[in-house]
Amino acid sequence: MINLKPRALVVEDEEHIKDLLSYILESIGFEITGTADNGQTALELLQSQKPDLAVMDINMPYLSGTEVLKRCDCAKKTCIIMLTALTDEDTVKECLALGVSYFIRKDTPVPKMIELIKKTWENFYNQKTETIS
Amino acid sequence: MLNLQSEFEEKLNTAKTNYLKSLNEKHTLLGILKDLMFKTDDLKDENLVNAFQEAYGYIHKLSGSSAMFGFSELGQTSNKLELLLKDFIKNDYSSDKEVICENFEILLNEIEKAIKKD
Repeated sequence: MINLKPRALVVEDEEHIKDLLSYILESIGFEITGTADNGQTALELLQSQKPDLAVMDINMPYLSGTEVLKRCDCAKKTCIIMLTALTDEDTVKECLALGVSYFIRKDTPVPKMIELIKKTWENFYNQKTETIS
Repeated sequence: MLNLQSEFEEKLNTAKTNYLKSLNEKHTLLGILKDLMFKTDDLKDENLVNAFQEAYGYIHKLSGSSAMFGFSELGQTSNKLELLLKDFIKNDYSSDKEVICENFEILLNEIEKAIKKD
């Protein structure tokens, strides 16, 4: 049987947020294929699993989210959504240059967060499909 | 559809309950760290340096997670202290320790408020 659910990776060093994000993604139809609580593991999973979507924190132990993106050229194949408490302009610019699809602040209410993730995924998916066809 | 929605809401409530439990633990831990951090100024004391770094780690996580679970005031307070601690550590523990102590106290009160509120 073919699994048609898009596959998602959750990268977050705070366990409670990681669980909450997994619930959110599952509720909108994603299959959680991996979770990571530091940048190094995230990098390994992004390279080995090539998920369709990754929601990733910026400030993490070992490697920051930005460093992960610099080391893996994955933003074309994977829809990357950065989740962060702080969004300084330089970090935003740096991440956008690395191909990040969207930024979500951690204080975004859950229903709005769901809406933003869905919309970002749809845009990414449509663009990817257009490129292929 | 309705079942899925209520199942999701139930999961969210469970996540929030678990988070509140963890706030209790964090409050206790941060209280212990505060005592370690402010009882001495001796930077040769490894316990002091470790306590600041450990506290920074907890507060960094608290800063992001509290906002996400809807505790916005706690999020702002912890965010302020996170930045103060970051500077303090970066400046080799030489900036104003009193300000950090005051903000630490405010944060502990804010955690208590969040626990009592829910």
